[in-house]
Amino acid sequence: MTAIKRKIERFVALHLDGAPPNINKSKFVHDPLWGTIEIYGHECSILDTPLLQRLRQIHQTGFVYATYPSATHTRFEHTVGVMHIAGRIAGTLRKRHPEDVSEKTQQRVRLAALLHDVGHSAFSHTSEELYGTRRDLSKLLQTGGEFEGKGAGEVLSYLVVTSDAFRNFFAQIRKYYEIEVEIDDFAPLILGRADPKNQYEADIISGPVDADKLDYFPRDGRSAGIELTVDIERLLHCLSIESEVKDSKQYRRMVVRRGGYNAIQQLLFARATLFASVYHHHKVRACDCMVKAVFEYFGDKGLKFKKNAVHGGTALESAADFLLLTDQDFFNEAYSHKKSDTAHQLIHDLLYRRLLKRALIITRNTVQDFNDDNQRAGYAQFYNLKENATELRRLAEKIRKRAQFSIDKYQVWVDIPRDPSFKKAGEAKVNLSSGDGRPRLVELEKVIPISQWVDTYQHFYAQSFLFGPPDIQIRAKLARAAIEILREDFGLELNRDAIAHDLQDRVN
Amino acid sequence: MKSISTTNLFGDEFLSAVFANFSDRKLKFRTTESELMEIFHGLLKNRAYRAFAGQYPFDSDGPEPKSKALSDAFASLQQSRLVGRLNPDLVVYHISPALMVRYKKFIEPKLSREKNLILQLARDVERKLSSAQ
Repeated sequence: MTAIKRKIERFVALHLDGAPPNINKSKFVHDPLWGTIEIYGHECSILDTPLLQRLRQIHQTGFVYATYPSATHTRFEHTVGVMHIAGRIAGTLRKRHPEDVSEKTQQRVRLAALLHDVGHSAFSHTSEELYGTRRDLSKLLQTGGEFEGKGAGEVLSYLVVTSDAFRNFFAQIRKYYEIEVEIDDFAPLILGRADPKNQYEADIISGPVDADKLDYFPRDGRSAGIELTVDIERLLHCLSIESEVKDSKQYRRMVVRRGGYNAIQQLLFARATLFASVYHHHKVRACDCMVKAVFEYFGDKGLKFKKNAVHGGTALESAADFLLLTDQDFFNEAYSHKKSDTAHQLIHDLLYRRLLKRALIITRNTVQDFNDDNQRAGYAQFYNLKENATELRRLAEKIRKRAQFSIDKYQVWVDIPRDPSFKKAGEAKVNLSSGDGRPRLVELEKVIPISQWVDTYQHFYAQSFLFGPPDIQIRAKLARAAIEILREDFGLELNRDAIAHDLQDRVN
Repeated sequence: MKSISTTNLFGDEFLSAVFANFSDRKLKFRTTESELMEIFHGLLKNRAYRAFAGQYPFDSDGPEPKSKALSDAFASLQQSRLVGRLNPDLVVYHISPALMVRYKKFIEPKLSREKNLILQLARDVERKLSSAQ
């Protein structure tokens, strides 16, 4: 067993407590998005474990709540929502294709949905960016690795669910509730992996129009107070299963019939709106940088997060170590350090919203002449730094040093947001059958270039930032230094709009 | 296949290098992201391009291979308008002269032995891309 798997074993054992599962009857819970949700007894038993309850302490959208005050929803309600909607998708498909979809299918997809985010750590996708690059996990994700091309979060969730500790726990659940589904029947769905004849099960959990997206787009929008229209009921009614032959294998896939086009378009626009106005809001990005600053500081100083001090704390060297952290654990860490310590201050700046501020905004519109080939070339080279965290930090450090102000490096960040999702709704397979009973499956983007339009729209909103401390003098110096360095290193000429509004009269 | 990229390129630099080595007649092409996935997945499995296999880890589960790294690289080039889409339907892509500028200025200096191999790969990708006509 590899080191990461050993660590995950320990984490799961710790969070299942070795105690027998709570025994439950079915329960009904109320959800602001879906209304009444039924949770079956065996699902309640899993939800009752600390392994799932910890998701109550992880905000679904990281620090979005620092800008949209009501976006305080957590991974927990999202998890319950995804389970519900996965079950509904399977139910719809079952009505239409009883030969393919059985009650056991519904059980499988609901369990996979229930556990799909169990590997999340503090601040959700913010920490995913960090643990995804830890050596032990990145080795598994790279070419030739055991989980080549998979997402970091989904691999951690899969490893949790397939750990021996969870298997032992689940064996008790199976026995008591007399359910036939086994872990290996549903855990691979978290990775988007299924037998070709059951590909639709993987599509429900991890596909272009999966239960995850159908829950988080409307849930995040509603919680943030952003009006979004996604006609999920209509979409559900337009899902079906069709066969597709590829490399002489027959895949039974979930597809969308013509009547669902409009709902997918709404889903694409919802995504674009959420990215432009919520997930990539500059204050949210500033918070993300501040979280990274805390982890960087701990790394530099060799400090350990004291959570589970009984185990000596964790230095977060392994991706699995991040599982020990929830948002609350992160904030509680401040109290392991004296008030005057940098660690305490960095964490409390986040807790009490003393945020970094923009010094520069770098977009296609703030480049002096984006029609100039040299400028576009330089911009592209700069924009590509988002793929290399080390180079990005090096640039921030160069700016800090050039500014010649005595501020520490944890307060200067160049931020180029990345898009975390790649299974796009435009890739959904649609059935263009003319009613002769023979399916004709095509990707939506080949029928209506809606996803291309939305991508193009989204490109106009992409913004990168230079963040610095609130002090205007310091940020003005940082802005001046950055303008010089971007000119020298990338040949980029920025216009006045690139300078943060409150610094405009201080930067020549 | 266990192979890590031997180039110094990261992010969208590798895709830029491939596009920059297209011949003049392929500066416009019609494609979709999934077609690009198929093309690169097929070619990078080839032993000849082993050195580049690490550039794009592919999730090969399901009927279509998918690579987040390739998807991100293609999106980045469009965001920077080094690769653009042509009206009215935005389904034909064109390679901007700015991509050549970037290649010459920033990317080519990072390449050494693999330069010829990239040229060969560019020819292979070109051959597999649908025609823009």
